Amino acid sequence: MATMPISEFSVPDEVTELLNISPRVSAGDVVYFYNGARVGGASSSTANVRVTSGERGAATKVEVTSESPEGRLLIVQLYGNLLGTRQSKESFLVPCRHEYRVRGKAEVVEIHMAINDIAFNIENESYFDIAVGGSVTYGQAFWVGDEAKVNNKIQSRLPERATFNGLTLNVGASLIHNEVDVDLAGQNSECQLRSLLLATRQQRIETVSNVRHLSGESKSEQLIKSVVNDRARVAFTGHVQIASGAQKSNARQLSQSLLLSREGEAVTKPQLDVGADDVAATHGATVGQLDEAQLFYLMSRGLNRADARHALAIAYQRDVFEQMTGGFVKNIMERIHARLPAELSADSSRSEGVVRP
Amino acid sequence: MLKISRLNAQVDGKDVLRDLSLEVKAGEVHAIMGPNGSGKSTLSKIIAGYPGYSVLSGDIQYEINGRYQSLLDMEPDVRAKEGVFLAFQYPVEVPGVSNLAFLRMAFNSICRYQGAPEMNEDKFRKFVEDKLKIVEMSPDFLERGVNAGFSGGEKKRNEILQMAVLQPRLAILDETDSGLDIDALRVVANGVNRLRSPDRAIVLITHYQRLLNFIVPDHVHVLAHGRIVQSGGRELAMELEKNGYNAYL
Ligand SMILES: Nc1ncnc2c1ncn2[C@@H]1O[C@H](COP(=O)(O)OP(=O)(O)OP(=O)(O)O)[C@@H](O)[C@H]1O
Ligand SMILES: [Mg+2]
Repeated sequence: MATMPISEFSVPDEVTELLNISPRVSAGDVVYFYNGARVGGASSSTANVRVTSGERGAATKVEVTSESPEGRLLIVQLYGNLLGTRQSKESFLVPCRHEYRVRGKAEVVEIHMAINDIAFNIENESYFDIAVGGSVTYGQAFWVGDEAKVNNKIQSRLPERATFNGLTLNVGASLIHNEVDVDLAGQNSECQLRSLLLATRQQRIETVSNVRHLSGESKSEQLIKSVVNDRARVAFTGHVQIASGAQKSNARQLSQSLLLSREGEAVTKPQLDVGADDVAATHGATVGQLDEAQLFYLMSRGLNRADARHALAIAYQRDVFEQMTGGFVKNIMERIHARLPAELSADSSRSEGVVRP
Repeated sequence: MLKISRLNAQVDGKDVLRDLSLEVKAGEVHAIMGPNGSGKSTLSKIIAGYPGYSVLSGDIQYEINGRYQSLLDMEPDVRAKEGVFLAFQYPVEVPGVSNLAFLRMAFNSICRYQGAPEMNEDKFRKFVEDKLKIVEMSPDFLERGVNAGFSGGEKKRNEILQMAVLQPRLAILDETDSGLDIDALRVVANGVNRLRSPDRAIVLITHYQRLLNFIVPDHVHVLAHGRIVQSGGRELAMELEKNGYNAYL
């Protein structure tokens, strides 16, 4: 299949507008890729953020050395084909690898967006190497079409006092498979993982997280929220391991699903493996539907059913963003979230997926 | 404006309304009193279109542009757009939906339906801030989730705020006076009295004749065992306060 020659590629206005590239995100903080190859954006480096990218398929290396202010970077990975038409059912593979080396503080957003609905497979890896005491706030979004498949891996190893605060958003694709591995290797290291997974039609989103507490006084907190519509399926497997030496560690995991249709499915498998005695480890899972009393209340004020369902579904998603610390990451992620099509959150199905009080 | 005729309704297989009939004309204020569990809230929610109740027989006719139409097969939002408003006995908390955004969505969807111009955010905020003064609420409440964490009295005020914003033709207030302090009672009454007009009607469900000192009704009804068993004027409320419902049980 013919993809657009790199030299002719220019970033569509809708993309820059969506991301509000200026003024909130200064152009110097953005790097664009098209089908895995670097196409533009920042001349690659502000003083404390250096981006080097190799040929298509090779790793993009991002080095952040900054204490204050934090080093910021927005990576935009765009996918598409030549004419924006669906000429071929044949899919092609786009490998992406990001290696982030952080000394100090970094706020990084990685957005993967299809500019048209074509068949392709994204193989993404994002790897974090964080120094002692370093901190990363990371946002990652996949927003692709039904013809795409995504295989996504996020890996991070946290030494002493390092923190990793991640927010991921998944929309679209026939299949998204996420693997998130975090090693809390050092004393007092800390990670927060938040995911918002929105699945419609026949889409499937699978997430496996492996959080390993290897040192004492480490802390992990996971919140996985999904909204499942139509015949979509979302599955989450959350392994939490607390090693024998990791005393006084604290691990929390919560998985919540909102089913908007009868045929949607949400499955959660928490797996706790606790080898130390003086620790706190909790997990919880809920699967719910829209609340009929709330729906009626909103409709009784004049909102039609679809708008009321949408308002409730959006309200349900809000807390994923709420406690997010980094302003840069939060802003961009909220902006994308606000632009998602309404039917993701509330289709026009009548009173399906409603719990009667 | 509203003609309820021989309405029979069930809740979870239990007969709650039995052959209930009631007529409310434009410009009138009706008060409905009655023992706990007699069906007052059920009636009001059926008028607003709550889907969990089943109407077995009878009808609710509502006047739209001079023509009577049945409310029963209209969606709740269509009823609201046609001017029906229920101030809930137990207003529902909707955390995560901002009070202001919700009010504007409601207001604009009604405007759209009626062919009136919608309001943008700035204009609407000013409009609502004026209404806040009527109910003596702080603008802070606009930023909070709908009724989320509101005290009982604050929820009731918020209902009146919504009513003041949406300007319904038929307002039903289900025990809006319960749990209110004296000042709040005056505030609520003020909100209702401002709405009174020859082309609007108000139905007050209440346990206390005290409210009727502030909002003087044209008619008072006793609802017991799912039907209206007695109707009269203002004096009926006073008599009920003195003698209770024993005569009707
Ligand atoms: N979901 C339900 N399941 C079973 N019974 C119900 C349900 N909802 C209401 N009822 C019953 O219907 C009857 C009427 O209730 P309703 O709330 O209309 O009374 P009310 O007149 O408003 O009382 P109050 O003065 O206490 O507010 C009560 O006996 C109540 O228990
Ligand atoms: Mg009641």
